[in-house]
Amino acid sequence: MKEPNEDWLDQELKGLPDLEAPPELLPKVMRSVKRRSAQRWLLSIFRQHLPLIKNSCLGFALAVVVLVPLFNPVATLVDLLARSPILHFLGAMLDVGRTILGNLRIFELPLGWLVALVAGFSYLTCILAASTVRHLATAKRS
Amino acid sequence: MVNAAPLPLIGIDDQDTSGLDARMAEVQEFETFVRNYQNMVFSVAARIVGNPIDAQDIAQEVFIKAYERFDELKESGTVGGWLKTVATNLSINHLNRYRARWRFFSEEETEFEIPTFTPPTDDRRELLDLAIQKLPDAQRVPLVLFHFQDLSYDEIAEKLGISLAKVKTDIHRGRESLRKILVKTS
Repeated sequence: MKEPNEDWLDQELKGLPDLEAPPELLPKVMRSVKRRSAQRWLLSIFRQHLPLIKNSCLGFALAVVVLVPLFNPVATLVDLLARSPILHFLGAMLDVGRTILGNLRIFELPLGWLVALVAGFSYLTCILAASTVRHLATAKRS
Repeated sequence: MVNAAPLPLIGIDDQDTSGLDARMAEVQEFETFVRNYQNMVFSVAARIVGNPIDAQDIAQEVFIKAYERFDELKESGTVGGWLKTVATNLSINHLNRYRARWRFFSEEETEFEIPTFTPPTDDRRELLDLAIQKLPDAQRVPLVLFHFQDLSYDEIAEKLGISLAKVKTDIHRGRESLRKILVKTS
């Protein structure tokens, strides 16, 4: 090839055809486009039926307001829970626990007090340890 | 016997099914649109960023933007120009984002060593495209904007945020480097 001069370069640059896009570009684009198109379509359906959805929600809310005093679902739920054998068992266990913690004494102190003291102390120790580690880490970084 | 009129189907009305058909038709129309313009958009991006993999991502982004405005674009007569401008801007943003700005757009001069490579082809046009890819960003981008996007020196300076003098020097150096690469390769 002889040395390209300015005119040659200009002509070649001007006449340079487009590069061929890789074959995977079209499927990639179309995948994203189809996803977006589906979202757009669903949104348009939602917008189209927005008054219907609004009215249905309003109707449902009104029905709830009317039906709640009639059927009293809270009382039904409480009844259902009160009849549950698991809750009865749980209640009995809590009673036993309360009796042990209130009545059992170690070094003249009720067990409940001791448990509360140990829990509080452990909590404070954890907080103190965490803040010390954080303080040391900051000091080391700076 | 009473002849009852057929009851309308509630929930599956004609509007919904025709909406679905319209959506499918639009997607097909857009596919044809992408087929027609994909080479042009890819070329703009590939020549600016100098890397076909990044160019493919940029081209995809351009077409997604085009899809969002497809209703306007398909009626417009300047769709090619719009696609070129978006591809150019996204490519420049890409270079700004992923490469050190001071190396790309700064007024500092960096020494460019003419690369030696074995061309995979004898076709001089392919060779020229390869040579363009080998140019450093600072020379390739203004050169491509000037020769392929037909932008003026002022427009290039504004787009890249550099001085007019730097644009002229970079284009001149780009052409010189291109000439040297071609001579060296041949």
